[in-house]
Amino acid sequence: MNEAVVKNGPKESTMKVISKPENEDSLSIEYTATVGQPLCEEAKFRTQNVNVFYADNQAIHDVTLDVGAHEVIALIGPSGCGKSTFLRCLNRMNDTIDICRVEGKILLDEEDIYSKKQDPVLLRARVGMVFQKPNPFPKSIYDNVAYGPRIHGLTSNKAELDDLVEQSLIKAGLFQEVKDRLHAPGTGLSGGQQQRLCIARTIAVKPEVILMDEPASALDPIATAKIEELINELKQNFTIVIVTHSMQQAARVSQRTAYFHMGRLIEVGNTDQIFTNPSHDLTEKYITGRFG
Amino acid sequence: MDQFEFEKHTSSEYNTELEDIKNHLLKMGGKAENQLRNVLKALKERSIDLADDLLSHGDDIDQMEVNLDRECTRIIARRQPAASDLRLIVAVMKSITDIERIGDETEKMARLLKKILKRDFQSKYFEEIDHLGKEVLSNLSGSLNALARLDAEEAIKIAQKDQVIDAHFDELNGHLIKKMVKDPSKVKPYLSLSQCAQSLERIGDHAKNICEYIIYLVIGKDIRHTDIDEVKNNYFE
Repeated sequence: MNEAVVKNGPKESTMKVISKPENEDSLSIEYTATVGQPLCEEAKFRTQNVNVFYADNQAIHDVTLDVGAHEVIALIGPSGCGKSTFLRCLNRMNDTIDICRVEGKILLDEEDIYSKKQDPVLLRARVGMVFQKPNPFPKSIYDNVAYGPRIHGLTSNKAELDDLVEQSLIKAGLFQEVKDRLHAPGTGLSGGQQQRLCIARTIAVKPEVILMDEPASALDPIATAKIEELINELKQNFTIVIVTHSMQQAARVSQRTAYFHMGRLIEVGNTDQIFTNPSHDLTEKYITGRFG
Repeated sequence: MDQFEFEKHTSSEYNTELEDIKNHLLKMGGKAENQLRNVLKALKERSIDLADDLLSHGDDIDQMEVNLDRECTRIIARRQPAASDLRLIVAVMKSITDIERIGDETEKMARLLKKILKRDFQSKYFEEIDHLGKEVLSNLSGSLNALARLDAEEAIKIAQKDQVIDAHFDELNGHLIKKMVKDPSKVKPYLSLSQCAQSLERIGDHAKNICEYIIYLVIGKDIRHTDIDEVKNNYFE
């Protein structure tokens, strides 16, 4: 059974056929090719046949997915499906795990980010990351935001740095709330404010892409709404890849949604289509809560 | 029903809620179907009593519409349905509006019929309207069966048959207009018969709408305001 299980698919499917895995029998799901449209015309990232291994365990199987410039793409799927692993490949955060091995091609503006001449530190300045739990440095609000520009030498004097910190806090929607206490500790802010501080810190180094790994899962509904509003504004200037467990959040913030299952990219498409009429049976089952 | 496993959610309560709205929708559809059958019986038997009986039960369908609307709103608020579940809720909310209007049309027919029968008016066009009514009833029953089985192929066939009903209505209405022109003293009863025929034609349209919602629910395509033959070629062959 090597054909994709396509429900209600178009007559001429646009699915991309990915080569069959060698160890197909070890999977408890049928082998499927990605359904939908994983490729973009104006791609910021192109990932081609990406496989990721933790020692002998394969976490990602042959994922080919483009991320369009200035789009918000949501990666969804059950726990352990590989969405966070895939996200971390995009700025080489997996390099920090000794047993992790990444195969395939990942191109940022058509340049291989895993080539030997690529400096991972510079890559992470271009591809910033926001994590699930807000993790401000034990420094002042100002110093948290100024940290990146200082180590990358992005400003030449104090006035420029002040301006960059202010602009970053404004873009992160936090400036009005903290403008009178910029030198107070960042850790003294509320959870939602800390997360926006982390976003300001990410923005301050002027990245091109922001990776978000469940950025609102530790926040209350109001703080979540502020982060989502922020994502909507940030997409004007940045490309955003967001991993989320909240399907409503994926539906609200993204233009495209990619569904992962057991390390495979099952389906990717327009968010409206994925949430009203998914083509793949597994996507349908996941987003309607029929797994288990 | 293989691809619509409403009963297989992780939450069994959610399964029950979706099954319930589907069952209540079918029950409401059954009521409307019965009302149409009864008004056609009243027409055939020229019975004012049957028409009166129908009018006394008109509120049942209205109340079912209100209850189903409330239940669908509650499910949207509490469950945030997606994909086929969302399409089911949308299809139910749309269908109940059409079914409620079918109920209204049958009541309108019962009132018109009473008016005609009180005049002791006789015409061969009663049989013609009865014939049109049988076609409409067949389409309505078919659409409700397709809804029960979530059978999109059957739904498209029934939607296509609405063209036959429309043609039949146009022909019948043309004859009735000629009669009115020819014998102005009988304009009122012929006009009432024409309005009865129009109600039947509208019930046919509502049955067709239900078929369109079934197709939306099953294949996820909104086929409203598109050519039925084209839809059939694109999605069903």
